[in-house]
Amino acid sequence: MGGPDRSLNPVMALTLLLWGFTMIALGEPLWPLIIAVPLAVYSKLLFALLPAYAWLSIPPFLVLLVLYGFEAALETTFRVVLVAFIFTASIGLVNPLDYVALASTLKLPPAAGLTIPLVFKLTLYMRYTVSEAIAALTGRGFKGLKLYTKLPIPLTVHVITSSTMLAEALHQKKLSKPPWKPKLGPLDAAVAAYILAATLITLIF
Amino acid sequence: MGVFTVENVWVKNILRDVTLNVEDKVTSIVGPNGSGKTTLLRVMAGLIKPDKGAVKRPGKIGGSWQNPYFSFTKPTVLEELSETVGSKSEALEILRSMGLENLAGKSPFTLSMGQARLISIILAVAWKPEAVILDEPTNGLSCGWKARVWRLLRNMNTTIIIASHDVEFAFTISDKIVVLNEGIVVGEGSPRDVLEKGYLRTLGLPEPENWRGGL
Repeated sequence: MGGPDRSLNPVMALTLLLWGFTMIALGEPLWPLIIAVPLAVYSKLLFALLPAYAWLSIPPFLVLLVLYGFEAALETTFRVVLVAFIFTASIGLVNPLDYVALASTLKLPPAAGLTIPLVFKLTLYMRYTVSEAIAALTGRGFKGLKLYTKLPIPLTVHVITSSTMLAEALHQKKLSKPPWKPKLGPLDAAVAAYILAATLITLIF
Repeated sequence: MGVFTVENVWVKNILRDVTLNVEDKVTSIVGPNGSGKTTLLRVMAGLIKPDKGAVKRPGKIGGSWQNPYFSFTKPTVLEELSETVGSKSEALEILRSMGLENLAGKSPFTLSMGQARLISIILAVAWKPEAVILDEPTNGLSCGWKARVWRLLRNMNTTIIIASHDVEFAFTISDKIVVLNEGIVVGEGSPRDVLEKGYLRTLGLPEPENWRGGL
């Protein structure tokens, strides 16, 4: 198993993102779903992010279930998860440095391009960190509720210390003006063709 | 003393048909980077479920993992240890016996890596588990601190399993050495056996120069 595929052009990824949101807003969520799930699987991030999807969908579902009933809760949760899938597909398939370069090209601060990929990276990192902290506290003999009430303490300290290190590392990398040659590959062509076809079908029928 | 039995364990491509019995007091798992040492420890601790195979383990297993700071939850080292052993006086006595009483009032999160690792190991053994699992216990420790860890572990009446790159330390402290490479146990035995059979040399690992185990 290698790392995730990173061959999608960032412009195509943003197009997919925008198109996906538009289709959801137009009440056509099936089209983005059809492409977002396979792309998220292809990016090798879907299964790694399953706990994040669960965290994102279960609490809103429960709240909406109590407030508005099953059907409304299911529909809204579906849309939330779909947005997460579209994000995973469109962001996870792009080399993060391409976003930095794109931001530079658009005269935006280069760090702005890193924001979204960082969120994904941090989600994976958080998953690893939580399991490390659970292992450490289990090794001290803490179990059950006691373990989970103590868990936020080392995690909070870790967030503070690792944020400092991350800031230093980004500064060291000097992410100012990397050379960037935008390329369109077969994956971009496939995504573009799908977006075009789905949009035409929606408009015609 | 706890006994571990690992039978034909597979974890993806990381561990491949690993079979192991741990009955000795101190067992060290050595091997190059990426050989599966940490994964094997996690399987033995019950933190990872193997894809195939079975593991028998004691009920109470203590552990200190690669980041010692995750073990801390209290404002001072003394409070941390008091919570585990039940009283401040006993906690202070343990710190004194280790020559660490100067750390009692310090925040565990501000300790150096070596100090934090030692406190994390003390916390892992202080609740008297049947076995203790230690991942790279000598990382970031100077010779003096390693000697303290050695004394602490050898004076315990508990099964101890260590994963380490530190071949010198592993040979000095262990009754049994397990050599792991690419997820396969390539050799095991007493430190003397492992050296005589040349398992470390075959893998390009350094042999312990200062080990005086009778060779």
